[in-house]
Amino acid sequence: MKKGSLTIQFNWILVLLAGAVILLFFMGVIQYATQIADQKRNILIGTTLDSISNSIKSGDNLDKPIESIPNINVEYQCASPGEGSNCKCSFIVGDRQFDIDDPSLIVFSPSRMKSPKVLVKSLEWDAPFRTANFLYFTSTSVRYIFILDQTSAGGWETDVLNSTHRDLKKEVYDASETNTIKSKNDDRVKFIFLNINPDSFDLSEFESMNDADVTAVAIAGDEFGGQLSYYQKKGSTLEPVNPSTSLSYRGFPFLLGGIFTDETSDSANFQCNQKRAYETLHYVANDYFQRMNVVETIPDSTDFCKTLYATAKDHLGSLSDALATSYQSDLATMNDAISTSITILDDDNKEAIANSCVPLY
Amino acid sequence: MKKGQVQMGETIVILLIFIILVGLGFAFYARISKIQLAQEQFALEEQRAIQRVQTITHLPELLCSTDGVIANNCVDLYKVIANSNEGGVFNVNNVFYEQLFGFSRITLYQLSGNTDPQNPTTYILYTNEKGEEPSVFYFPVLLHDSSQNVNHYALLEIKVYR
Repeated sequence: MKKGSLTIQFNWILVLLAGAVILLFFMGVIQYATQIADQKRNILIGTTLDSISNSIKSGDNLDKPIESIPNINVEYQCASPGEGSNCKCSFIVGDRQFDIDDPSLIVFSPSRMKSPKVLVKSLEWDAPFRTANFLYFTSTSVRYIFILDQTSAGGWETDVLNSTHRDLKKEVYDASETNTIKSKNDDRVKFIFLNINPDSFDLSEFESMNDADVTAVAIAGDEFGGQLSYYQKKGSTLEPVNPSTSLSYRGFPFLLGGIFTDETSDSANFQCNQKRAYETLHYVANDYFQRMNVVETIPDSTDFCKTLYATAKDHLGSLSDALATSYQSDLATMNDAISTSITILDDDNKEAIANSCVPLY
Repeated sequence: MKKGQVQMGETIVILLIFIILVGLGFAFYARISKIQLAQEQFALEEQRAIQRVQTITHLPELLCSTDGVIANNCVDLYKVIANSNEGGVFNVNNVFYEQLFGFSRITLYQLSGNTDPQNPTTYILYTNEKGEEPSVFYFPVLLHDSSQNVNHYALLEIKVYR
């Protein structure tokens, strides 16, 4: 081989090597920039949800859609971190997890929803005094189908329908016309059965959808309390998520929470939030108990008021004690205990106001 | 030196200069990103501080209520007295409230209705301080005495440590 052609070949090899190195370098830079952009987007969504939760928590009865976040799947999961402690709930955006650190922030949300239009609503929870604002998240990617017996439906069913998010994708069917429900190529579908048994419900219209994307909740009760049973699609029927358990709820805010939460075989989102709410109530009740300790020392109180304060303190103490181990107690038993305490405290408060004593709350 | 060697030398020098320029560019980009990240982190910390303040100013454990209806910008005198005691709910249940308040100090100064007008009554409601410079927020509030049914002026001071 001639010397000149050897130089040319060597130059080409050098150019190829240099080109490969430059290409690899720029590919690395692009990959790095993409990763950073993804992480930034995930952080933005997470912090947006976090700050929205905090601001809504402080306001009363808000109902606002959030449209400013990028289109991505947002997951919501609650899990018990271990014995002797309450549940921890988190939003998961991409590969990042955003824990809800504020233990008094009670968030009911589907286990998976898709932005960009996330719907948020808040509702105050009084037990009997103001304890927390519940937040209900969902998105327009979920289609909600309410099924009820319109001939016998009472006021509470109407309250449920009127209390959902303003922009909710919502349809209402009578139990006799469920055969008219059509699939609309939805991302997710949730059926809500209000005092209707879903066992024989036919899902053949939705058969082409993924089983995980079609869920249901059956509510047996009313606005004061009852049982929730969660279902998931399997083929063309609905199967109970946990055949042996239906969950007890107490009060309208929890009933609404049950509608916007998913319970799956590996998550307990509704139960977790109920326990978190009861933990908050335990501390707020304890606060009112301590307040009564101070109120009792007010000079010039009448004997009637003094007796009333002592009784109310006992009742507040009982409520706080009943909730002290909310993370390990049976919710149905606790719901009964809370209902009784709330009624008694409500009566005590009315009596205090009627007799010019310091109100309990 | 032969022509081929000179050409090769030129190519190597050009490559070296190119790599140095790209390296400099990358270092500059990294530096800018770092500064931006620090700024974003600061903004995030400020946002967290404001969120904590928002939580504190809307806490049912402090606010006044009439038959369960919460009144904003009003704190209940008896809740304040109860919580400024050793056995107050914030002190006794500090594991729970630390998650809400983080590193902070909450103080309420009663500005009217004091027995000695020169010395406003001070209620320290929560203290969990960390040595660094805090962000300080002040809120004028009403302090409601439900036994007399009177309101006093008060100032809520919240120091949030980063």
